[in-house]
Amino acid sequence: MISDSISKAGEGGPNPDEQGAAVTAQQNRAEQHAFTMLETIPDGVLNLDENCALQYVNPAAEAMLGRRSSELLGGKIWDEVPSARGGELEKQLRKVLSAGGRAEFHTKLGPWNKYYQILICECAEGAFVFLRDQTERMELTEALEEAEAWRRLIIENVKEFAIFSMDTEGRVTLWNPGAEKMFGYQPKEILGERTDAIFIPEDRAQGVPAKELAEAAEKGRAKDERWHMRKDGGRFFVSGAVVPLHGEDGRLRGFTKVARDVTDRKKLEDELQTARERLEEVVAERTAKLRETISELEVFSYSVSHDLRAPLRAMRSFSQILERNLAGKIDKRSSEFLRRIVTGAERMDRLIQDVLDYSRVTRAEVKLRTVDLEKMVEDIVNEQTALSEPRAEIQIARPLLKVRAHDASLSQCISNLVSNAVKFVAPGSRAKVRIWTERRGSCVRLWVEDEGVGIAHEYRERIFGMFERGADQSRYEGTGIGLAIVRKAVERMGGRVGVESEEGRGSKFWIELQEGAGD
Amino acid sequence: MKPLPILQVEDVEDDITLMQLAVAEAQLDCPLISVRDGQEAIDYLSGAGEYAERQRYPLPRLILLDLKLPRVSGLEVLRWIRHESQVKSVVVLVMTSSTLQRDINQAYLAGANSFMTKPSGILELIDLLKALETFWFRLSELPVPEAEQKNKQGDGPGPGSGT
Repeated sequence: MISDSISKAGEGGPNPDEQGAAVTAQQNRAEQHAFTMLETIPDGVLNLDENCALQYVNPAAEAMLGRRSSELLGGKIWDEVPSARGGELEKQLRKVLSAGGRAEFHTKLGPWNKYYQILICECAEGAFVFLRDQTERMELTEALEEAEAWRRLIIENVKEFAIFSMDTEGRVTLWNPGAEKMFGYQPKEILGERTDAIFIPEDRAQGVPAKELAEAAEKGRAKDERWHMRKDGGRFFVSGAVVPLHGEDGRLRGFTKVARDVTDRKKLEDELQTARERLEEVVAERTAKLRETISELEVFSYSVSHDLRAPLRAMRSFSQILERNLAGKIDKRSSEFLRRIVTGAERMDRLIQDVLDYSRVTRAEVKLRTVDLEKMVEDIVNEQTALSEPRAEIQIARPLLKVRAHDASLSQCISNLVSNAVKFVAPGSRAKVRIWTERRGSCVRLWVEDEGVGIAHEYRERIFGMFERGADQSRYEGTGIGLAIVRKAVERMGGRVGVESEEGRGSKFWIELQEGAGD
Repeated sequence: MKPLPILQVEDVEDDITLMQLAVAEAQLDCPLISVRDGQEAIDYLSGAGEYAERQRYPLPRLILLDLKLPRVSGLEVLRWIRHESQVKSVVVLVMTSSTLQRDINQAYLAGANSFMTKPSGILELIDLLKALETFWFRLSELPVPEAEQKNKQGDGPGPGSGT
């Protein structure tokens, strides 16, 4: 029994024969070495007698079976090793026990489902069973096989993509059905050949096929976005890339190209591009026409300002002279008529001036910058207070927030609002105006509130229209353009304008603009 | 000694009449001479034709220039004065009805000494002339035209230089 001989080996028995004793000592040492080896190797080793009862279990086998040697010895291998009975192990073991020799095979064992390489060798009174755990290696192999199967499945079945590989010289080594369908070459026609045939002649002449591979080798990737050619000469637009394949040693082994036919998309893009260019042309053309119209309008405004105002100036001036020269020499009615000529001319002049202001606001280039409202409002208020009679009381709730605006346009707006606030008061009474700002999100609202005559509900929207007037025409001077200018200017600065009012209770006009930066 | 005149370059007859009335009303101590277009202004200043007679048509101490003029525009006259004339330093006040920023900028660029919009009535014009007199004739020193200097060097004293 091997276990006996092994266990006894270390003790060494006395031997009367000197020579024999030396030989025995040598044998003992060898047995000692063998035993140490059995106890330390990572393979599981089992010794069975002819009845398949376990005689020896080494520590590696103990670990594999998860049980102590002392529990196992004497037991039948079928009972002690799960799933050994009826399987490959039993079959092979019986064969070796009856016929001798050895058996080597792979099988899964135990509830732990591990994969073992098993070697069974006959020995004097039974057999040795060697178990080597191959689970990790098998799993790796299986994974590799699965990956390879996947790869093949993809390459063979993806028809929308051409996938092909080349060696370092650019000769085709793999050509998938997608490539066959896209380029029209069967594998046997192109395997081993260079891919020049699939490039268009212009690119071939430029050496594109070789350049593409060189770029891929150098940069790790080369884009292939160009027209290609089918076997039948038809052209189509490809979007793809070539990547180099490197061996484990880092040496270049070849290339793989994946490409897609995107002719439809390319055509759409080209059409879109053409459409865009045409649109740009049309826009440029129209813009030019508009510019022309605008400059014609400017010329028109210029002549209006120059030519229309000249006769008015004459009317007003000569009437003024008459008025003064004839003072006290003509009757009251006549001097009243003269007065009316003067005021009529004045009104007409203001009207023209307002129309010009409106057209200027409409076409002026509006460049927004941060405006110090407080300074602007103060300047305007000083001017307006001086003009009004009796002197208006205008209160500014400092500080006023800064806004993003076009200086001249905003100044015109505020001036118009303040002059309205001062103007539309009950006859003889003193205008009281309050100006303040309020933050509303990213905007600032400038309020101009008066205690004047107010605006009837039905006029509230209309007053911002051209030539619209809310108040009694005969009592208050005005052209009906001031608020239209305000609205137009504010809109051009990207803001809003509005009013809250009740007839007889004053009005609250507001302008809303983006808040200015703190600079 | 007769003071040097103000030269008005103006094509609108009403504005010429009004300016004459206003100059009289404002009691400006100098004559007003009016020419009707840009070419006439150039002829006057360069002494062409009848304007060669400087006793009758002396070089002006100040020019009131309208921009919109027949034949040669006010801006062209202004450029001619500054670059080609014998009176490059003469004070030129643009007086026009335009309020276009472009016109204003161009006038100053071309060398205008001031840009004013025509007042809408004669009373305002009289006020303007009074202010003008105060500023340009009392508070400011005016240049002596180059042409006049030549006269001085040549055949003795020319006309006096105003106040």
